[in-house]
Amino acid sequence: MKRRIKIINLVLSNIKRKYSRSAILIVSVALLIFMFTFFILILATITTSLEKFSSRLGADVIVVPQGAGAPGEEFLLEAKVRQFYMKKDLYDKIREFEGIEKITYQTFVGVLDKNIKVIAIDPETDFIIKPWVENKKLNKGEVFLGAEAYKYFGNIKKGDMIKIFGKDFKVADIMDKTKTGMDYSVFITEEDMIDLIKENPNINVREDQISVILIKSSQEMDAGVLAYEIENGYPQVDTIYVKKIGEKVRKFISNMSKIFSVVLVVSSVLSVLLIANIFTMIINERRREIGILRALGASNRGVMKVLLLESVFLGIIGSSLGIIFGLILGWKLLSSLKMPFIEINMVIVSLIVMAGIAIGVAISGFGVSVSLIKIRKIEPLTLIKGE
Amino acid sequence: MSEKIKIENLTKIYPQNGRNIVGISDINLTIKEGEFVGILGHSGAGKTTLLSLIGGLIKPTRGRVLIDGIDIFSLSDEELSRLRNEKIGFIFQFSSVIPTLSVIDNVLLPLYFAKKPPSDYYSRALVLLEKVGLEGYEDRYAYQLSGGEQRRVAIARAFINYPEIILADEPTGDLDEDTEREIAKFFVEMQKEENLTFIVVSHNPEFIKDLCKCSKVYFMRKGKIYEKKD
Repeated sequence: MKRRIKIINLVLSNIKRKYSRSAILIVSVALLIFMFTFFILILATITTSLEKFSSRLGADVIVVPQGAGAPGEEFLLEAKVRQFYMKKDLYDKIREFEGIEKITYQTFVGVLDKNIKVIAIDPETDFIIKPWVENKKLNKGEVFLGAEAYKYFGNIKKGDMIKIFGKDFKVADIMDKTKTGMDYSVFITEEDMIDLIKENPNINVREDQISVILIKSSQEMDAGVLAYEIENGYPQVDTIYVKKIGEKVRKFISNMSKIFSVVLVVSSVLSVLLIANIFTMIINERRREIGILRALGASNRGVMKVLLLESVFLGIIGSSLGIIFGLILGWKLLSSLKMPFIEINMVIVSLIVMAGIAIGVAISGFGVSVSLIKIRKIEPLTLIKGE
Repeated sequence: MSEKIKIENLTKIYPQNGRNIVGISDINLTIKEGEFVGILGHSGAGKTTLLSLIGGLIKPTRGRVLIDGIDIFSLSDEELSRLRNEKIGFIFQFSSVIPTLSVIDNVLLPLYFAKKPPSDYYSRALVLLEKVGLEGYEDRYAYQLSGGEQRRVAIARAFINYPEIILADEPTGDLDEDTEREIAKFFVEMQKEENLTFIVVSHNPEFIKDLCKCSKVYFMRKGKIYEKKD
């Protein structure tokens, strides 16, 4: 005849018996783990996304007109519409610098509805768009559509025709998702840009203007040094060192981490004290029961096991709730930032889940252990008498 | 019959508010295997203290308790707990069930600490419940039972693990006369069937002598023990 495992019955019966206290324990663990999950998700996601962003972009130095550094970052990180131009002859001068492996330029042509940007590229030198398309060569009369921008044109596919500023273009390819501002852009050739300028008086850019110069430094050259030298050589430009992109965000995250660490440590200590106090109350009320268990053959370790199981059970429920709410609210906050480069990393999420449960269980286990130490030395008969 | 329990110079003093209260004093006693021993005495005579010392529930101030030749107070907590679990069945003078567990889970509870599969003991648990008059009660929760019924669950529990020694402290204290008689009959039956070394403590001479028919009766007074011959 089969019997269920009694220890679980015993643990569950104890939890049910002190329903409101069990709820307080669960909530206190849940709150702590919620904070942990929420902050770590945000901090780790932004940090790793920024690192990935640098490698996705392909360039390690971006040259923009003087004073356009900040708008340039906003354009890249947040896909915001930012319009700035410099003389194209700067490109010819800067390409002469030593330590450049690849160099190209892009020009902001204009903006369509829903903030879709039209950008002209030089297909001969481009190395930024190429890795994201199968059809590597962009010809006159063709467009590459960003992974989000193509939605603006409805249900279209490669080879379809679309109109941009009244001119027909053939969709040469739809780009893979880059998680950068490129996803919200349409790329045309420089030749087509010149035609559009002639045909469309509303387009402000001139033929001899470009918006950005994108550089991949050679292996021997430090990109930071190259950026510094370009800026020194040409005061009319600013450079964005891609590895340093999001410096403000990084600084903010670094400060947040410090505050968060303090908050987490204080909350952990408070949670342990709260849990220890509640368990002390529960254990004091259950002295007789503990004494009976000892008389039935439970060693101190055996009693500890039962109570630890109870706390672990409550810790797992509390941690799970904290993790679920932390992930949901963290994800909501990250989504609300509307930064295309932000990407939830499943490895990070898995680590947060494991660490969250481990912390929740450890804290509730520690809390009960603190209160159990007090009754370990009490003789079973004294416990049975409830003294 | 071999010596099952040997008590040597056993003394227990309780320090209380700066004074020493003598629980028991210099007790020497030998109980043989399969003996049914009754201990009589008024409250405060030291009966519960003696029983608790034999069961290792408290430590003596002086003296030794040997069970099967082993000084139980020389054992570690783990070893003493195992000895209690494997060899001793306790019956307390109050309800000692876990109210939120079912009747059957209460009876099977010692097996968890013995690391024995409860399924092997399920039928024994049902038989014991039947013998204490709780047939069909197995799935009820202990809190649903009356005080007397809870006591009977605890009595059944004491026998579940095939103990060698039963220590019963006022086992029928608040039970009616009929139930008291049934419980005594159950004790006698179990003691004979399983050759148990049985120590029952009571303030009621009739229960010890007439109902349990103890082979040896002792009387306790002010922490001392005397054999009652009549």
